[in-house]
Amino acid sequence: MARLLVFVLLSLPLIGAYAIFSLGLVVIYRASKVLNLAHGAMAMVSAYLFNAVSEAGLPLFAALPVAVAAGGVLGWGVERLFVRPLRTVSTTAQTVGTVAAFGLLVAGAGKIWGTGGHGATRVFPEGQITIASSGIRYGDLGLFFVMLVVSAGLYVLLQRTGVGLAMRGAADNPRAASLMGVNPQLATSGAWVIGGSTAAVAGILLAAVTILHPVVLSLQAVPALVAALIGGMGSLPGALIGAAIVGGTQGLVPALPSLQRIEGSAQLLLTLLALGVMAARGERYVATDVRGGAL
Amino acid sequence: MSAAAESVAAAPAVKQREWRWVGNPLVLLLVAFVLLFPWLPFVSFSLLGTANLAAYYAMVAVSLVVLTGWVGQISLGQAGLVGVGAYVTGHVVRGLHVTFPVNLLWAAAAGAIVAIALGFVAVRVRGLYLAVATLIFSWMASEFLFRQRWFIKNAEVTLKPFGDPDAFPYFDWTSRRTYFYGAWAVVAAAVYLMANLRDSKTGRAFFAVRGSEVAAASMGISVVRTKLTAFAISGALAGVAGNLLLIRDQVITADSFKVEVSLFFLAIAVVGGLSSLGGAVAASILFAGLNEVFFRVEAFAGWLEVVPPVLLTAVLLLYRGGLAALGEAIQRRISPWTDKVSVLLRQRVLPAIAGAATGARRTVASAVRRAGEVPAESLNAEPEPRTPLRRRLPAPIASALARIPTSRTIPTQPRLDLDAVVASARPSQNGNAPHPVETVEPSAPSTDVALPSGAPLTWRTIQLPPVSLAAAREDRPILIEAAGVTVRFGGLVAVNNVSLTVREHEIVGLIGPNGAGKTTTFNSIAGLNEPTEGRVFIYGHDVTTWTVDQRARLGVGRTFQAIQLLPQLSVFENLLVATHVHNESGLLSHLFVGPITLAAERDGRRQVRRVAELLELEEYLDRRVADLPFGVLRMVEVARALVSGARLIMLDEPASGLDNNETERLAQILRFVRDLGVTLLLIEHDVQMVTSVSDYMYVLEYGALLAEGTPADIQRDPRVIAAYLGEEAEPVLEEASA
Amino acid sequence: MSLLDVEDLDVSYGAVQALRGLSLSVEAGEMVALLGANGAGKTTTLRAISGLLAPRGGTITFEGERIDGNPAYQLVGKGIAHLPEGRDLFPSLTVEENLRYGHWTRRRDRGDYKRQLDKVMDHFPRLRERRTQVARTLSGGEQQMLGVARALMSSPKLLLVDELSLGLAPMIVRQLFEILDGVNQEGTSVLLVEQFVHMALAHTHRAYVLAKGQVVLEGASRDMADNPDLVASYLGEGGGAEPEAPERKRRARAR
Repeated sequence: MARLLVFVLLSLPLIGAYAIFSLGLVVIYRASKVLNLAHGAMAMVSAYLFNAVSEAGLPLFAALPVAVAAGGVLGWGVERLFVRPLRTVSTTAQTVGTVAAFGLLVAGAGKIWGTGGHGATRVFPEGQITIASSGIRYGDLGLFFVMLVVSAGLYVLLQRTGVGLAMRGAADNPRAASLMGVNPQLATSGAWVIGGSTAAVAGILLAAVTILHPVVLSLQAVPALVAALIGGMGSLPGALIGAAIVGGTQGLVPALPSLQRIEGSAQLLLTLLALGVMAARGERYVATDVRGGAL
Repeated sequence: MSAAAESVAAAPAVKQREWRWVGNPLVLLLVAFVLLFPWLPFVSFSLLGTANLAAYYAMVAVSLVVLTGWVGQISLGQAGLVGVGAYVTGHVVRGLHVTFPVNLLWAAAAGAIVAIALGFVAVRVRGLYLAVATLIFSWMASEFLFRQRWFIKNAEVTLKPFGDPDAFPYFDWTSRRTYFYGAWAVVAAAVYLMANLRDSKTGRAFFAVRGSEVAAASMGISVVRTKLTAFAISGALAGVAGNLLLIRDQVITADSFKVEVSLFFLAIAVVGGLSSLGGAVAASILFAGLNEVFFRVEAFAGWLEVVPPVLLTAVLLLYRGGLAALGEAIQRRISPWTDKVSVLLRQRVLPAIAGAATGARRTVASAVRRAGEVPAESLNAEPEPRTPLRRRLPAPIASALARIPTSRTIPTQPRLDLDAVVASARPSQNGNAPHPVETVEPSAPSTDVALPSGAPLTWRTIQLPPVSLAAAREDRPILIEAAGVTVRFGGLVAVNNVSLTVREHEIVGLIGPNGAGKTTTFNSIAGLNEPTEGRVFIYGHDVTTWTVDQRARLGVGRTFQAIQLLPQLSVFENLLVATHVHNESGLLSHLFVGPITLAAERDGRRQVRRVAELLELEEYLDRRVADLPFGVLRMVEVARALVSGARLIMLDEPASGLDNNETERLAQILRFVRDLGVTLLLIEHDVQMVTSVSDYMYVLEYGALLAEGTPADIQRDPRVIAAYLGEEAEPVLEEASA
Repeated sequence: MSLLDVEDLDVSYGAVQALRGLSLSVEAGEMVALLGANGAGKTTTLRAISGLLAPRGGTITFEGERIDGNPAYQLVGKGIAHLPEGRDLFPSLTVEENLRYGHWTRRRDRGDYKRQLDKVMDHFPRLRERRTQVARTLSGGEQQMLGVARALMSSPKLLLVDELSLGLAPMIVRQLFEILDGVNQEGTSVLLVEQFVHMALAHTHRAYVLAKGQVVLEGASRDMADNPDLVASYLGEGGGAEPEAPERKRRARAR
């Protein structure tokens, strides 16, 4: 029983972070059909900005919006500079574009803030709650709750507002959206802004409970990528389920003594799961699947 | 003017690589520089180390060129493959005491095996999903595999020198100079082998799969086999790179194989131009050189990290051809001078030196080009080809291998013999196209009336003996039969119990209004969807479950409504891909330019020229597909099907997008193709064109067969007229006050 | 001044020229048919008018204003609605969401939304029953109804309809055409592309026949129905008559 509790508590922040990341990834994917491999890097830069702005003296309630807005701008910028120009080549080329963005953001962050990791400004207070015989830090619990808030917020935005409707339709069928008076490009940019902002939220909170480091923090998005893939890339609920699976697995494995000794076993399991899901879902090529050109 | 000089004067429109690089004074200078490099005065110890680093980068970059550049399979996981090669080398050196050159094979094998496993995933997922799969693999490798003690325990090695310090062949691999020659020799060998591969049947299959998997399959290329081959080769090369890394440093750490490193490798390949071997090597030297520069110059300290992503971004967005395109641009600028020197060298200096000095003899491209300089008659006297490796194996092994099901168990149909057909042609009387078919007994004797020598044999200038069809359709042999084919997509019945036949030497038209199910039926016959019910027979074989490339081996070719040609290649290169099925050469023969490959290449090129001549496409052969008008490209697709030797060609809306004149010409050419001995099945919306060309027609409506018969019957059938124009209806509106 | 005026339009898809100097017009209150075999350029014409394609030459004028080259999302606000072939719905949105999307250009007028919604649901009671159903789960006929309904939500002045009948049973097609008649009588002009000639001629004032990107016949729908050239343009010179040499294609303009 105690072991189960440990596993649950360990998983909560992971599930929280991965869920926020993968929600953003899915929103972006639905709008652009591109997998944003720079997602983690956008989160990382926003976290650094938040840290810098906080240390410069700005109070929490001002620093947070600034950093989240910066994330949104980053999202818009990556789409505008790295994805849109390659739209005539292929979605694969656009995905490689996001790789280039990743590289630039990581290198840039290393140059400006140094490549050594350090602690980050906290959002939630220090300390922990004790449940049974285990404890969970406020920051970790906070991650999970913020994830719930973000999920709810996204749900309301997309399902209950006019803007959300416009975006969903534009993602579903850009040509029809155009014919109804909605500029599909604007809707796409909006999706990337949402993606960037949510990534920023996750990055800030995650840095507070782990570490602020250009590469390490950026790569935290890779499990989220796996989560989005498992969830099917097509739906927000799917993203949440995928995050639960991935976060749960990473929390579960250290709790199992037999697997504990094998370093990286969680990652192996997740890889096999992801590859299995992809291979099972793939289908024989159909007549419409043809694209020429390099990359 | 000598033949060589003439070739220089007639500048080729599309790159002829072998001409540019062989005997090119720049290249010779470069080779000399490389050979002397470690001894040059300004080359310091650290610079030599950088040069060695460049060799390692070059090896990885080449592996990416093959996989991502040529086959279009994005890999964000090369670092994982390199790591596997490196750690396995460690095991082999310390555990099995295998010395340097030999342990390369082990590294290659390890890399290839792991890559093939990735390849199986690649077969199922496309494009960006594959990129992510490889990324996840790289992540898993660095988080899991490269932390397992049993796997990484031999990460540090002591290299035993080769030979005796006092005798001549003595290689101390810890010496940077020795390593320099060894590593770059390996890189050079890899580039040489890959260059041969690129110009061979395997290379063409790679490009075809990248350009259009459907078109590649329709020419008999097994997409699965091609992709797995590419992964295997790329994995082998990456493994070798890992080996080089371990030998260079004598120790490796997992840091060298992290996820970011995979992205760095991709950056090198992209900056090089992704599809170019030379570009990959150049980019490797550039990136390695950056290390050196940034260490030396104080002001740049700390900026090294930023440069690779900046370069990647710049190339991706601004100059996608990368260093390769840059090199070509420079080459074009200085070619007037270098060509003159090249000619001099080839005429005077090089013939004096044995062929080995230029290396020209043993590349496919140059060997074939030399064949082109040989008078035409001797092309017909082909050297005795040696039997392929497979057939020379002892009988029990050969028969065991034969039992492994591959696409070769489908008997490849003999190719349509164009030479024999054309030999029986007469000059066309008044320049008109051949006449329509007659249903009489075959009687026209072939008269060997010679055309004026040098005159091209085209569809306009020759007349073929009329094809005879048995008067009663039931007596004509059946080539295609669709029996009760029904195709359901979810709840929708697209094709409902359709039965049709295509008989030998016929031209059959399949028409119907929009949404009638023509394309779906066509695709069932072609192999692009599997009928829910019913069966499809081609040449008597039940092909209902066969894949597209398996059907192509029966001698079925096709054209596409949306042109599926490779836009960056020339017409000639596009047509050459279609020789795939009848090209018997194997992978080893491609890599080492065996005589089978040479014979097959000569044969294939002759086939392409023959077909191009017949269809009057010779003037376009060296032009890039992307530069040609649409009407020409439609002809090229027909030519491509003919080059593959198909006796049965299916055409998907061949007249779509053509104007009246072009449609006219298409109809004449289709009749000519039939007279060559080919059977045709076409779907078309231009009913007028189909009725003028077909011997028999089928009309579909709402997924079911509405009518069949001769064109004259169809045009007058009131049901068909109603299907196209709709039922008669009472006018509803009053006269409008327009 | 015509409601819609197309002059000398040239449209290409990359290297392929689809329209060659096409001209037509639609007057206010008219219902005009655009006929011709597949590949003749009918869909391309509608796409150029609604802004999905930019023409390479020629002009398109709507209510006196030049609109050629403007992107689609700008044109819709001026009163043009385009119902593309194959319905082109939002497959993962519900019926009601699809309809609401159709009202996007007038979204500020909430009262109008309710009015239009009711009107449209009256035309198509089946849609009222299925208002919360996701669009991709509807049957072919229902999807087409939804497409028409959605196009009507913005109260357009000009409605472009592409292949209303595609894949539908004749009875449903008849129903849809009757609804279009009603819409036209309320003042909306209609330009419709249709493969089924007789149905189209029965419900329209005028018709154009296209072939290979140009207008080859035009005139009052009443007169067109008996014109032998009409059948010939679909089935070739031999269609329904004596077979002739296939090389020539006659161009007759019947006014």
